Amino acid sequence: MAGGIEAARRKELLQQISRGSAAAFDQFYHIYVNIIYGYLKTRIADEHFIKDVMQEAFVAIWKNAGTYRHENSVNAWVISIARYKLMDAFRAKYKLPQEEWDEDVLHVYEQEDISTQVIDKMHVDDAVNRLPSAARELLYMVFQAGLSYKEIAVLLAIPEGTVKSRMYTLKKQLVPLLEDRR
Amino acid sequence: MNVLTEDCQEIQMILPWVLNGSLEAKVKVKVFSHLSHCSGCRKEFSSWIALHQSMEAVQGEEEMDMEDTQALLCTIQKQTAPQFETILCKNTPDEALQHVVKGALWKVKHGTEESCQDVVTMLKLGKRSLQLVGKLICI
Repeated sequence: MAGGIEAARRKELLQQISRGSAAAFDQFYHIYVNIIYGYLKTRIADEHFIKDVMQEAFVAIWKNAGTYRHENSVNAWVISIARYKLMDAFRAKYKLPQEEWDEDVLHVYEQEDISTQVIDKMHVDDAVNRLPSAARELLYMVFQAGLSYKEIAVLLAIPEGTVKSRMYTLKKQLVPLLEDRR
Repeated sequence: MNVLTEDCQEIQMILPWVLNGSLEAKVKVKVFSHLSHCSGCRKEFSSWIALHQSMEAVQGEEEMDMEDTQALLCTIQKQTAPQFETILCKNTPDEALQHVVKGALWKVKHGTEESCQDVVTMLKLGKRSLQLVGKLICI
């Protein structure tokens, strides 16, 4: 998570990138390469596919740095680009029409029952890894990318209350495992 | 069995965001004030802390290999090589020149063998920039 000074530095780097600074882009790349990689790993396992999406995402960051709005966090902006590029890549790969894919993504929670995928007495890291990818994505957005529930609601195109209740439900599945581990 | 009050429900729903540091200060104060007198929510908060720590341990392992990281950067740089004319559109000639020179210096300091070629390209851009600035001054 980026604190005040670090967050300001990232915003400054984006400004420099928007003016064409390759040095600023290199620094930005090294800050975000593993954040984007970790995020994409929550949704896909194929390393080649991940790298293709990362390439697209960073090129988009370079081209669109000037469109970043300061009221949003840089993390949310970067994750939104990575997510958009991931959906684009899936659409291209499976030749899905836009509406069909969005529908699929938005309803993934309703299709998958988390409880059936979590096995008793499993270590929590195994449990997290076995969660549906959309659930891991949400956990990643909260704990790794440090996004607010408002930012996540915008990214996933769902109400803020739904973001909160999904996290709450997720934890209810994982807590027994944590207690077993103690 | 503990009965959750409306306050408890509201607080418990936002506990993950207390941990990730994204809550507004006034909301955070409200949460901690509630936690100070509610043992049920404190217990809930403890389990969130445990989950948060486990998540950090899991996700900490998700890092790209150093070689792959550098190779990907080189590929991206080929697509994003700055055109001085573009930089010049967005900056004054002085600033544009500074960007190009700073970029080259940064590459020399941090770059790999592969990126030496980029330095050469950047310096060529610098030379081209001087010519362009010269032309602008003549105009």
